[in-house]
Amino acid sequence: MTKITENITALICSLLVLITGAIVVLYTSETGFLLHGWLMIFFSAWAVLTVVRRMNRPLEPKSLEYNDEVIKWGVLGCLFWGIIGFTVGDVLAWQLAYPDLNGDLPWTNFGRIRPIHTTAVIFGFAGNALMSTSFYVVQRTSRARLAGGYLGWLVFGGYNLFVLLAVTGYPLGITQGREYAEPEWYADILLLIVWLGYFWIYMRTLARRTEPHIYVANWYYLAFIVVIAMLHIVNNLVVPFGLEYTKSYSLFSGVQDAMTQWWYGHNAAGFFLTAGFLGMVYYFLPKAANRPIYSYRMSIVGFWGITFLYLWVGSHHLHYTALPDWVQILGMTMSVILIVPSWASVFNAILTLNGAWDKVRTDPAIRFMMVAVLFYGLTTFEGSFMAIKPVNSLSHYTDWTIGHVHAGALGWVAFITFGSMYKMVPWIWKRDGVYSIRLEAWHFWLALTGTFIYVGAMWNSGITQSLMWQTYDGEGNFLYSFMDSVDAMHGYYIARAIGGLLYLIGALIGAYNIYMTVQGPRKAPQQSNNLPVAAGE
Amino acid sequence: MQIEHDKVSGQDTTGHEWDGIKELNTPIPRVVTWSYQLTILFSICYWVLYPAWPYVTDFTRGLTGYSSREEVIDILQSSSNEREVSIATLFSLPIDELAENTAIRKQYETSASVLFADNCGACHGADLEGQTKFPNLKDEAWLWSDLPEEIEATILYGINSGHDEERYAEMTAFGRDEILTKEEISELVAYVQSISGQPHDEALLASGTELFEENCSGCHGDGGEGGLESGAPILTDNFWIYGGDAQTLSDTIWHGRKGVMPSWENRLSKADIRKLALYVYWQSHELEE
Amino acid sequence: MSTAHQKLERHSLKFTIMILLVASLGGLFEIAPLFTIDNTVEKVEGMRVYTPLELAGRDIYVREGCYACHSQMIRTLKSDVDRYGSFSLAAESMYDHPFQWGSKRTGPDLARIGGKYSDDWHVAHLKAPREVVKGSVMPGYGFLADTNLDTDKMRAALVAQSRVGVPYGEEHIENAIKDTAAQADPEAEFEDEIIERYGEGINIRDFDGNRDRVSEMDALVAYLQMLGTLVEVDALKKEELVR
Ligand code: HEC
Ligand code: HEC
Ligand code: HEC
Ligand code: HEM
Ligand code: HEM
Ligand SMILES: [Ca+2]
Ligand SMILES: [Ca+2]
Ligand SMILES: [Cu+2]
Repeated sequence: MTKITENITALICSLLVLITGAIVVLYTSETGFLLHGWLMIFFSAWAVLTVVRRMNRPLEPKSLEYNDEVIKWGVLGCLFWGIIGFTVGDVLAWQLAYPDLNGDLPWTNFGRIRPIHTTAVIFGFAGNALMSTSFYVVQRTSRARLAGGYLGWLVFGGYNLFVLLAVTGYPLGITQGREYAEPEWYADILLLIVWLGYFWIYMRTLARRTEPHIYVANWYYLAFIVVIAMLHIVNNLVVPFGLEYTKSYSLFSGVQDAMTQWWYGHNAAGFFLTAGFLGMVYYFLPKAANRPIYSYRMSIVGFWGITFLYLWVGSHHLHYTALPDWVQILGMTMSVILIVPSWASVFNAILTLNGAWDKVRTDPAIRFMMVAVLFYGLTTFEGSFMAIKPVNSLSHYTDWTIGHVHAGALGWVAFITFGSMYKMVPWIWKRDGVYSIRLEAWHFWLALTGTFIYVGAMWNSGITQSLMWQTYDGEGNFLYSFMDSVDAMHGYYIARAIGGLLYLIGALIGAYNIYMTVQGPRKAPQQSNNLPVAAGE
Repeated sequence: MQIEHDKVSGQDTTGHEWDGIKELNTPIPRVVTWSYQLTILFSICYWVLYPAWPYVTDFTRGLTGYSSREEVIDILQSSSNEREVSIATLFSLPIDELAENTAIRKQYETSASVLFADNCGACHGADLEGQTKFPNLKDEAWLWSDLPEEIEATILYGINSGHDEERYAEMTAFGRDEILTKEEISELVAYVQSISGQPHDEALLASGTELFEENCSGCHGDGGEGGLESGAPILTDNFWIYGGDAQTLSDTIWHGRKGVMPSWENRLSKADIRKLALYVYWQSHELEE
Repeated sequence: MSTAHQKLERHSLKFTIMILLVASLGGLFEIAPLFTIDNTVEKVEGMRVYTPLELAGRDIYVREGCYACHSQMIRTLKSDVDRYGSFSLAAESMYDHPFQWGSKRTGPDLARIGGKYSDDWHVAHLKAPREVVKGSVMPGYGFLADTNLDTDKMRAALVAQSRVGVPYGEEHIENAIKDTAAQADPEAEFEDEIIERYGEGINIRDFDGNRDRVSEMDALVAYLQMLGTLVEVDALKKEELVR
């Protein structure tokens, strides 16, 4: 019964995208929109075909295996967007050091390509990493095969189409102009549909689990899915010019728009770049270290603390602005409390390694994960610190924020992703292990050096900026002009670009290593006694 | 459910297991509970003291009645009170006397350079040497006057700025407005190049002289010597705002010019404007020690 | 606690609902009241809707991602006020869909850039920033001067604006396309009409120094030149500002 409704819903959704694409192609006069219309038609036609083919196919015998095929595509997407995102990030970094690199063309200038970077890394790299690992983790910890069958493919396909629409739109000038929510209304609708599909698969898999309890990792993944859906819907309430235009205006304006945007924006960091990745930690770290989680109770404290508090702190992005004081104070105090559940997760993860420290030395993947947790601790401490108003009066608008972002992004998000991927790839492709531990170690050290250089440079440049902007002489006159501060950034921007380059090289080595792992010989088949009990459909 | 004892930590597990992952039932460490309480207490203090919690049409003001706007208004007020003496000095004497005072120059010149870079440098260059369309303030060529009070007036009200007391100076668009023909303009170009000591086309000169007398000297002075301080530049000194090459000169005469210098009256304080006027004067004049 | 939680974590749906409940409180308490507390947006004089040309310029500002480097929000800090002018009011962005307060100052704040420079300067600077300001790291936007402004779009734009609550009336929308072009034309015949629709203070002139076309540069400069010029914050009394 559900099978049929599922098929029909999937069909309707795909047809909906198809029709939208067709309308766009027929009516728009914008080149970018035309391109996007065709992309939508192409992908949704593929989706329709998939659904129809599966509907007609006779029922397969129940599979007794986990569905890992679809996860493989997620790994691919993660690496693909990761490389693109890091490369564009480094191009941006060089542009700020040598502005002639902007080329003065519409589609190459800093303002237009910056969101390619943020979208490619957050939605492309991190998003694919989260979806693929969540599908892996939910199956193993529920001992159930992934629900939905081919639906997983549609979700991955649709999701990556969303990223593609977003990233190709920016250089053509298609943007909503709100950080991390830049994709325009039609891409937003696509993401919403895809996301509901993702949620559906996740819930159905949980529902058919054979473990009585839901494991902590799934709490986090679930929170990530549910909260992102809520944020996405509210923050993308817009009125388009019309079906033939890409452009839209957000429903809210000014101060309300700002608060809604940063309620969303902070939690893009909080749930996209934090909660989901904590789910990753809770599975891959104990699994790799072969140790029990340090404290179940602390898991609870950490989880609900974060789920509750993160949604209150967006206003720390708006200190001293025209946002009323009461919201600022509320955001600041909640941010201070937030350090406790954040660090509860840090303790829980690090103490889980107790009794397995030898592995940190020998296994670069565990080293990736451990360092990730430490950077998570650093970033959250720094975040809570920066949320205190007087501190923020220094850090806001400066590179300090960029340093904070990348301590989290490079040191935490990407490190935990690489650590988990080095474990998961051999598991899903059934290989004995990673192709080369030495290359894995090279990746680790390059990434770590790159991160230190990047973050170090930005801390220095950020503090320098804020001091130069705020220093007065004895008579109450500014000591530096704004241009003095721009000039002072040059060296730091070069250093940052070099750090980013090292990081990118590390990631390329990582991608090669994973490619070779996949190319390598299959593990001798062995009888597993951990098969899903609630198997296929 | 099988509760096990973990030797490394000395704790029991909860008895659950997922894909081989177990959990210890370790109690929450004291530091966590305490720091939770501490941060919450900190926050409550804040909520009591400061504006924090909303209700439908208003919010709690807190015991301090704090307002970040009030705070900064007060800070700005008290800092301007502190600067009162320094400001008073700037208005203690007429500006032309201040301009010749080396002690005053020592006191204000450095800080005025930052003010200049933030506000004026974008057009006139941080070194005051100007650029195409924006005059050099260091050379001896002045559109209006180099008297300190005139410089101050220029900064206050601007040139063609739209301010009620703006200095107004517009170069007629002789070509576009069909006052002169293409040929006449090229003759004028030759003439202007000749009076500024540049190579030029001798053949066009004769009628150029006459045309200049008729059309231009009213603003630029006889023979382009200036001296009228009406905003029209001297044309004999080979210093150019827009350029002295034939093409630019011809564009200037064809399309006219109306350079805009903004008014700073509503953007900078009276004291800052006075400092800038002095600064421009000092940078363009040698003072006798 | 942990026994209650052990019950909860056996039900995926209940768990999900619990997450939703817990996570929605923040938004309810921090966003909803911003619509109901009256002094959130100050009552001030001078605010008017954007003219279609300015709005087109603003859309270009958004499209080019200027907010990646420029803030439009002067904070309540002495050093911000001293460098950029009076702190920004909420009212000043009440017609901004979306807001463009920004989060990074690679370049200076632009909240009160209107009138600080001349049109000529803006055009020269946008075309080649480093030729005008040594050491600038801003990209060049010369292509804006070579691109005709899509004025036809402005009717749809004003309709969308009015749907999100900006008070454009029938007449604004009717004349949107005409007004867009006319504001950049110093010889426009219906100057009076535009003034009647949008108010005394608006700038009507050729912004990009090229009378032959209404370019995207015209629109962007028109937008920059009105930023922060509507409300006289300095003239307001402390009581009107404190909230
Ligand atoms: C938007 C560009 C711009 C800015 C900013 C600017 N100026 Fe000017 N300034 C001009 C132009 C253009 C002229 C010449 C006007 C003309 O061509 O008629 C001028 C003229 C002047 C003159 C008159 C020169 C003479 O020969 O009589 C002085 C003095 C001056 N500026 C000082 C300043 C100071 C001080 C500042 C900063 C507070 C400043 N300017 C900011 C564009 C600017
Ligand atoms: C109504 C007064 C007026 C008349 C008549 C006039 N000018 Fe000018 N001229 C000006 C002003 C004012 C400027 C400066 C404009 C500016 O800086 O924006 C100027 C600038 C110039 C410049 C540019 C100088 C530079 O530094 O780049 C040239 C060349 C020039 N005039 C030549 C002429 C010639 C040739 C004629 C006669 C055909 C003429 N002017 C008639 C007022 C006049
Ligand atoms: C890569 C960063 C960057 C981007 C993107 C950028 N700017 Fe800038 N901008 C700067 C810097 C740095 C300065 C200061 C140096 C200068 O004046 O060029 C500046 C200065 C300015 C100024 C002068 C401000 C003042 O008070 O002196 C204006 C106006 C301006 N930019 C407008 C824009 C507009 C409009 C856009 C988008 C179309 C834009 N900028 C995009 C970096 C940027
Ligand atoms: C306790 C946890 C955290 C707190 C309290 C916190 C707080 C802050 C603060 C105060 C800012 C600066 C806002 C500003 O002045 O503009 C900021 C910016 C940012 N943080 Fe965090 N942070 C935390 C954790 C993280 C983590 C783990 C990440 C993951 C990468 C992250 C990503 C970001 C990003 C992307 C920004 C930049 C937003 C922008 O301006 O575009 N944060 N954070
Ligand atoms: C090779 C590695 C990387 C380099 C060289 C790099 C470089 C950059 C640069 C130059 C900026 C613009 C900063 C500015 O505007 O001043 C930026 C912004 C940003 N990057 Fe990266 N980046 C890298 C990796 C990542 C990763 C892995 C993530 C996330 C997972 C990430 C997330 C972000 C975010 C969220 C911003 C916006 C910050 C803000 O607005 O405050 N970056 N990056
Ligand atoms: Ca930002
Ligand atoms: Ca024009
Ligand atoms: Cu935040």
